[in-house]
Amino acid sequence: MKSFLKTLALLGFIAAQAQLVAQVNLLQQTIEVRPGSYKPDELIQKIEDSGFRLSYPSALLTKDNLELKYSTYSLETLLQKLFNPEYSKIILRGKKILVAYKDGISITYSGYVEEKGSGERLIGVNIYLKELKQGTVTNEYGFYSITVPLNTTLVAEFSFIGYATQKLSLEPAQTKVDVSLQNISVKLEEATVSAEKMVIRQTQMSQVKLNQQQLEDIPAFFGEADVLKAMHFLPGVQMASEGNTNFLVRGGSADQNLILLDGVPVYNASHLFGFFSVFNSDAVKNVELTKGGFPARFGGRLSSVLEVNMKEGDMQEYHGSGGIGLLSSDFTLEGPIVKNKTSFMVSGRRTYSDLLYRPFLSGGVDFIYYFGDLNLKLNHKFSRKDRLYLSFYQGRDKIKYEENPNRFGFSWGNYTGVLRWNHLFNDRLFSNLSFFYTRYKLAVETAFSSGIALDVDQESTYFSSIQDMGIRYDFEYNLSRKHNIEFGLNYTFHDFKPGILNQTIGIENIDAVLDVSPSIYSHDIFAYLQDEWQLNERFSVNMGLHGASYFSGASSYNSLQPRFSALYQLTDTWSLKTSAASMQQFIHLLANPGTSLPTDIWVSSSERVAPQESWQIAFGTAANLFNNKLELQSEVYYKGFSNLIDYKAAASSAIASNWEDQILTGGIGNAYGLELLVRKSSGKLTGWLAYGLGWSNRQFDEINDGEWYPFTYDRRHDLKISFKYRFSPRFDIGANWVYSTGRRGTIPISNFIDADGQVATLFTDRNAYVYPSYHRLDISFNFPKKTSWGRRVISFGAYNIYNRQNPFFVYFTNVASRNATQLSLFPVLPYFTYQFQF
Amino acid sequence: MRKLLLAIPVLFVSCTKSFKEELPNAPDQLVLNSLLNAGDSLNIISLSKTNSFLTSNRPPLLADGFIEWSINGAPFGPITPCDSSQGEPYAHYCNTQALREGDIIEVKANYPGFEELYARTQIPDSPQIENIRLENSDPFMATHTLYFDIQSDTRKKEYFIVEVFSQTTNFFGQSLHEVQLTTKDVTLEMLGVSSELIDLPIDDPIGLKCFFTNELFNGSSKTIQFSLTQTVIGGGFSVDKLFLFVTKCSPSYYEYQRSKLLNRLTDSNPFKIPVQYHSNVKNGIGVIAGYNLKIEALN
Repeated sequence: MKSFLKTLALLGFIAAQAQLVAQVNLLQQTIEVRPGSYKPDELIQKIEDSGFRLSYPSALLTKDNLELKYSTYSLETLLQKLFNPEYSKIILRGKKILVAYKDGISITYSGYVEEKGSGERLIGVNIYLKELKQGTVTNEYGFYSITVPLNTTLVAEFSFIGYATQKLSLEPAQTKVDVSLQNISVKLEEATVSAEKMVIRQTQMSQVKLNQQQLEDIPAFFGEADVLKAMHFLPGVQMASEGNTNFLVRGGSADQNLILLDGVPVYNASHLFGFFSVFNSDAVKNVELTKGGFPARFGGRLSSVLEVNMKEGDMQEYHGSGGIGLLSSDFTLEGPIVKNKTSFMVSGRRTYSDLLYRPFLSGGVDFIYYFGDLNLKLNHKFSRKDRLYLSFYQGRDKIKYEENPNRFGFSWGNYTGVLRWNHLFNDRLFSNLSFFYTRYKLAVETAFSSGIALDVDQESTYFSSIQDMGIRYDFEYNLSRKHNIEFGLNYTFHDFKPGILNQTIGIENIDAVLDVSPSIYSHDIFAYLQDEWQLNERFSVNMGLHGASYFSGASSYNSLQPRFSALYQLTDTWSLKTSAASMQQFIHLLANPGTSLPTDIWVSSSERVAPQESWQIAFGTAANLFNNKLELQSEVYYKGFSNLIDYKAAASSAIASNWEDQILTGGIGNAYGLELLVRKSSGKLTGWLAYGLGWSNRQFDEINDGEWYPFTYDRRHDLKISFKYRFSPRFDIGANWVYSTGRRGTIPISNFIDADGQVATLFTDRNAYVYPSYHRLDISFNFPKKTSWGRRVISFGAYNIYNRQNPFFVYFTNVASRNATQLSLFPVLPYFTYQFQF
Repeated sequence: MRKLLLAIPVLFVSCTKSFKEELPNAPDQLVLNSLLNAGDSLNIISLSKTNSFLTSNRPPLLADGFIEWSINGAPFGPITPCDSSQGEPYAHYCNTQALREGDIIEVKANYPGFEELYARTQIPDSPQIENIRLENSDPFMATHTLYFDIQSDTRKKEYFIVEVFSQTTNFFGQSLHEVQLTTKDVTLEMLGVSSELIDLPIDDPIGLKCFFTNELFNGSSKTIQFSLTQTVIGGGFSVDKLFLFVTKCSPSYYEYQRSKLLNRLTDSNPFKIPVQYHSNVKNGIGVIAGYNLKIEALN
C-alpha cells in the first residue's frame, strides 16, 4: 500500500512539472505583430487571433497605447505589457489565459489635485475611500499618496470646500491619478458638505482652515479683509487689544505664534502698529491655524502655527483682481509665462492718504505715513516629478515728520524669499527642498537743532533687526496601507541685532557709536520623524518626535519633543480625539504688554536666558450633524509653561538698553479651558459660532511676592458669531458679533503712609482687576455682479455699528479728582470698498 | 523714544471717558512702619490706616493704638505717642532704646476692629569699606571717579545700598544733593534717575542709588567703581564736600527702598505695570526694617 501511494505521488509530481513546463512553453510561444502603436484592445485581439482566450478584470488592463518595435513577441512579454506584473498573475488552462489580482499585494495611488482651469494646486483636499473607510489629504503642494489592498474595487471621493466633489474609480492599471476640481465657491448650495466630513476622520485636532473665500466673507475693519484679524474669530484665539492684529492662542502670548508665509517665518506681521497684517488677502490661497496636537515638523514656538499659503499663479489664463478702499488699494495679477509650464503671481498694496494730504502741508513741514506690500511668485513645472517655486515678499511702513531743521523718521518692514523644489521620487515618496531667507528691520532716525546753531547738531539713528537664512528638506513616504511617514531636517542661521545706536551729539560733533546690545548669531537645527498609523478602520494614531539643537555663543540647548495624537471614530458622524505635544521656543519677543509696537525686539536664548517650554494635552470630539449640514468641534485642553520671560518692574523703556538686564526669567504658567465650534459651510446661510472658556495664569518669584497671578489676557469668556446670508447671487449680508470678558490689569485701590511719611498707593494683586468687557457688531452689505470683463463687488458696512466704547486702556491718575479714565479706540467706522476680478 | 511710539496708537483714540470706576472692594488696612538704624536712640514707629484711592484726603495716623516692642525677645515698653520734645507729631510712637548691631526687633500693634499686626527685623552689622579713593578727572565738568572695596560675609546673603551726596553751600545755607552714579558693572542695579538725564540714551547703568547683594561677589570683597556726575554746575552753587553713604540692609529695608523707587518710576506711566511697595507686616502693610548706615567723607 505504501509503495502504491509513493508511486502515485511521484506520478502526480511528474505530471505537475510537465504541466508547468507545458505552460512555460506556451508563454514563450511567439506571436507575430506589425511594429507600431496598438490600443490595448487591439493587442488582446491579436493574442486571441493566435488561438488563446483571455479572461481578465478590466481594472488590470492598461489604459495606455503600447508601442511595439519588433515583429515578434512572446506571449509572456505581450501579457506583461497589457497587465502590470507587479499587480497581476497569469494562470494558464490550456489555451485559456486567466489574469487575476496577485494575492496579499498593496497598491499605491498618488497624484496632484489642482483647480480646474488655473492649475492652482489645492491644499488639504480630502480623498476618501468609503469601502475601506480610509482617507488622506493633499499636502501643501497638492500631492497625495494612498496605499490600499490590490484586490478591491475602489471609488475615491475627492472633496474640498468651494469645489465640486469628484468620484473616480481607482484601477491598478492607472496608479497616477491627477485630479482637477471645479471651483464653485459662489454656488455654495452645491459646495460639497463632504469636505467637512474629513475633520472627523483626521487625527489632527485643534486646527482650523480658511480659504480665500472664507477670509473675504468676514466683515472687515475698514473693509480690508485681513488674515490675522480673521484669526480672532476662531475658538481659542483672542486679540491682544482693540484693532490689533496680534493674536493670543490658548493662554499664550503673541510671540508664541509661528507665522509662516509659504513656509518662511515672518517676524512682525503687522502694519500701522498692529492695525493691519502684512498679508494681502487677494494673494492668499489658504490659511491654516494649528493650536495644539502639533505635527512633528513644527517647532520653535509654544502656542500656535499659522501657515499662510500664497497663490501660485494661473497656468492657463491671465487673471487679475483689485480693490479700492478708504485706506488702501491693492492689485493682483497672475497668469502663464509659458502655458502649462510656468506661471507668475504678483500682488501689491499701498495706502495713499499721504499722497492726498501732502500737497496741502505748509512750507517747511512734511509728514508722511504709508505702508505697502509686494508679493511675487514664480512657478515652473519641469515635469510631473519636478516643480520649482520662487516666492518673494517685501513690506514696509514709514513715518516721517520734518519741520526744518528738525526731523523724525521711523520705518520698519519685512523681507522674505524662498526657493522650493518639489520632487516626486516615486508614487510613495515625495520631497520638498527649500532655501529661505527672512529679515525684519526697523530704523529710527532723529535730528534736532539745540537752537545754538541753525543746523542740526544732534542726530541719532537706531537700528534693530533679525534675519534668518536656512535650508529645509521634507519627505513624505507612504510606507504602507497603515503607515504614512513624514521626516525631515532644517537648519537656520539667525542673526540678531537687538539694537545698535549711532549717535552724534553736541556742537563739537562728537561721534559716538554705541552698541546698545551686542549682535548675536545662533544656529538652529532640528530633525523630525512622524508616523500616521491607521491601526484599524476606526482607530488611528499619529506619533512623532521633534529633536532640536540650538547654539548661541557659548550656550547650547538640546531637546527631544514628543508629539502624539489619536483618533477613534465612534460612528460615521462622530469621532473622539486626543493629543499631546511638547514644544520649545529658542527666540523671544520683548514686547510691550499693552500693544504691538514695531520696536518690539526679537532676541535669542543665551547663557542667561534659557528657551521657553510648553506641554499641552487636549481631548475633543468632532461631529457632523443634521445630515452633514453642521460641523461641531469641541475640545478641552491643559497647557503648562516653563522658563517664561517677562520685563522687570519698571524696566527701562528706552530702546537703547541691554535687554538681558531688563528681563526676568524662570517664570512658569498654565492655561486650560474649553473650546466649541459650530460651523455651517453650505447653503444660503453660512458661518460659525465659536465659544471659548479659559483660564491662564503665571508665576514669577519676583512678581506678586512669588504668588500665582492671572495672565494679562486671562479672559474668562470669549464668544464670536460670524455669518453670511446670500439672498441672491447679487446681494448678501455679512455680520460679526464678538464678545469677550475684559482683560486683566493692576489698579490702585488705597492710599497709605509709607515709612518715610509720604503718601503712597496700594495696588491690587497683580492683574486682579478685570477691565470692562469687550463687544461689538460689524456688518457688511455686498453687491456682487458679473460683468462682461469679469466680476465686481461693491461693499459698504460699518465696524462697531452700535458704537460701543470698548476699553483700550483704563488708568487712574493720582490727582484730586481720582477718577478713572478710559481710552477707547474706534467708534462706529463706516467703510466703502470696490473690488473687481477679471 | 518708546513713550513717543506708545503715544502714536493713542493718537487714534476716538474718545476718552472719565468715570468713577468702582474699585474692587478694598477694606481699610492698618499700616505699620519703622526704619531702624543701628546706633539710633530715638526709634519712631508709625501706625496709620489706609483709605480709598478715590479720596484726596491724607490717610489718617492713629494715635490710640497699642504698640508692643521687644529686642532680642525682651519686651520694652510701653511705646507711647511721641511728644513735642521728641520733634515728632503726636500720632507717631517713640521709644528711646538704643539699637545695636545684631539686635532682633519685634513689633506688634493692636487697634480696635483689626487683627494684630506683627513684624520682625534685625539690625545688620556695620558695612566694611576700605581703600576709598576719589579721582577728579574733569574739574570743570565736576566729574569724579570713585573707587572703594566692600567686604562681606559670604556665609549669608547681605544687602547693600550705596549713594553719594554732595554738600553745597549757598546763601540759604548748606544742603545735601544726591549725586548721579554711573558704572560699567552690570551686577549693580542703579535706580532713580535725575530728570535732566532721563531722555538721554542710557548705555551703562546709571542712577541715584545703587543696589546690590553679595551673591555676585567673587570672593569676600568687591571693588566698586563709580563715575560721579554732578549736574549742579554754576548757578551760584559751590560743592564743599562729597559724602559716600553705604547702607548694609536687612532684606526688608533693601526691598522697601527698591520697591519705592520702582514705584516712583512707574507712577506716571499708565503703560507700565505698577510696582507694589514691599511689606513685611503680617495682617497689615508697611515695613519694620533695620539698617546700618556708614557715612564717609570723600574730600
